[in-house]
Amino acid sequence: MKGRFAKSKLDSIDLHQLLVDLELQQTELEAQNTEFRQTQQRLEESHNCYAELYDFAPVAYLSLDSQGCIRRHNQLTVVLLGRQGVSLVGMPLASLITPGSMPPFFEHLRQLKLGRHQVVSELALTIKNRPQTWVRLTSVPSMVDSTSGAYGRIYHSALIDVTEQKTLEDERMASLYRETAARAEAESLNRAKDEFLATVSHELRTPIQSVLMWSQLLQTRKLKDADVNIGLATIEQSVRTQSRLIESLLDVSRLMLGKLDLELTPLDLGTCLQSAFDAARPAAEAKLLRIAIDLGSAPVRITGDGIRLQQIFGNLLTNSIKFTDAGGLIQIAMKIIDSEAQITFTDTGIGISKSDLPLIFERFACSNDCARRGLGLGLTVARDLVGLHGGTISATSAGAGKGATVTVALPLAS
Amino acid sequence: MTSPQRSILIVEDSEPIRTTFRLALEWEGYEVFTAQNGEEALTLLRVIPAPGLILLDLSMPVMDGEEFLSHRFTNNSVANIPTVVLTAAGNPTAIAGAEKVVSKPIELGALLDMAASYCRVPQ
Repeated sequence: MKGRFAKSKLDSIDLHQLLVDLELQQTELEAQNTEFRQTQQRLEESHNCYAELYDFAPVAYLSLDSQGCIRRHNQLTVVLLGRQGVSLVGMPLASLITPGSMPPFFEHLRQLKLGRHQVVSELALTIKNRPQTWVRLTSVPSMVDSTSGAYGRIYHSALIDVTEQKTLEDERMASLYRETAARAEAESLNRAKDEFLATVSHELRTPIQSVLMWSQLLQTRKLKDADVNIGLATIEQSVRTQSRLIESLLDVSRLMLGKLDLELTPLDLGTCLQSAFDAARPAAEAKLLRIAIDLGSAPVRITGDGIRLQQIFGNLLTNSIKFTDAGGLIQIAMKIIDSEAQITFTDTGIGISKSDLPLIFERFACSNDCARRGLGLGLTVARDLVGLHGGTISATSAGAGKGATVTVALPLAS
Repeated sequence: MTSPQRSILIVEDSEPIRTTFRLALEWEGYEVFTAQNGEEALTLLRVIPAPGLILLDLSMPVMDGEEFLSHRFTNNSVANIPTVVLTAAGNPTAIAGAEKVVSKPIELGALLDMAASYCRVPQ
C-alpha cells in the first residue's frame, strides 16, 4: 500500500506539473488561436479589399483564356458589355465583336500567345440596343497562372470605352477631309480662272497680230492688187474672229448674271437647224470633213428664240469641226420622242475621255489639247441657252479617239 | 540664189499669222519656210538648209513650242539656229533654248529689225 501511496504522491506532483504545462499550452494555443484568427481576419480584409478593388473597380477588367473566352470579370465589364444580371464566364469575347474588328482581335490574341507582355487594340463591339461601341482592350499575361491550366494560359485585360473619343476623332477627320476638299476645289477653281484669263488674253491677241501687221504693210508698201485683197480679207477674218470671241464672253457674262432674255416666238426647229448647218458647212468642207443632216419630213414646232437656237447649234457644230480631223464625218439628226424634239450631233472626232465627260459643260473646263480649245465657252453657253428653253443637253462618247455625240432635247410647242 | 543665212522658218499654228509673217518677210527678200507645229518644223529642218532664224509660236497642237525647243537640242545641226519665241501669252518669261521671248502683237518694223539682226540683210 505504501508503495501505492508513494507512487500516488509522485503522480500527484506529476499531475500538478502536467496541469501547469497544460495550462501553459492552452494559453499558448489560445494566443496562437487569437493570432491565427487575427491573421485570418487580416487575410479576409485583404481579400475583401482586393475583391472590392477588382469587382467594383472603375475600369472593366476581365480575364481571357487562350481561346478568347471570358474566365473572370468584374462588375463594370457587365455594364460595359450591356449584360447586367448575367454571368459572362465562358462567353467568347468574339461574340460581341463586329466582323470588321475580328482580324485585330485575333491578332491581339496571337500577339499575347507569342509572349508579348502587353497588347493594346481598339475594337468595335455590337451591343444590344446601343450604337456601335468602341473599346480599347489592353491585355497582359497572368503572372500566377503561368502553367497551362484547364483553359490554357490566362490573360488579364482592361476594357475602356473609347466610343466618344473615336466619334470625335472621326468627326475631326471628316471635317479635315471636307476642309481639304473645299480648299482643293477653291484652288482648282482659281487655277481654272487663271488659265481662262490667260486663254482669253491669248485668243484676243492672236487676231490683233494679223490686223496690226497688214495695216502697217498696206500703209507702207506698194502692193499688188492681189496682195491688197489678201490683206483686206485677212483683216476682215481676224476682226470677225475677235468679235465672235467678245460676243461669247458677253453671253457668258449675261448668262452668269441671269441677264440674258430670250425673244420667244413659235418657230420650225428644222429651219433653225438647216440655217446652222448651212453656216457651218464651208468650215467643215475646208477641213475636208463630210457633214450630213437628216431632219425628217414634217416641220417641228417649238417656242424658242431663233437666233439663240442657231447659236446653240452653231456652237455644237463648231466644236465637232474643231475636234474632228480631215476625212471625219459629222451627222445631225432630229426625231420626236414623246413631247420632245431630240437633236443629235455625232462626230468621228477625238472623243471625250470618261473622266472629262462630266466636266465638258462646266465653265472654264476644256480639252487638255489646249491648242484646239479656244475659250472653251461654246458648250457652257449652249447648255445655259438650252436650259433657258426648258430643254436638256447631254454628251456621250465611247472614249478618247472614238468620237462623240451631243444630244439636245427641247420641248415641243403645246 | 539665197544663201541659207537669209532664210527664216516660221513655226505657227494660226494660218492668218503664218501667211502675214511669210509675205512681210518674203517682200523684204528673205526665203521663208513655214510649219504648223513643232513636229512639222522638225521634219522640215531635216530637209531644208539650216535657216538663219526660227520664229516660234508656243501654243500649238501636236507639238508645242517648248517641246520643239527640247527636241531641237538632240539634233546638232539645228541646235545652233537662233530661235525667237513669239507668244500671245500674257506674261512672257525667258524660255530655255530661246534667244528671246517676244509678245504678240509684234510691229512690222520690229519683225524686220529682228530678221535683219539674225540673218544677212538681203541685197
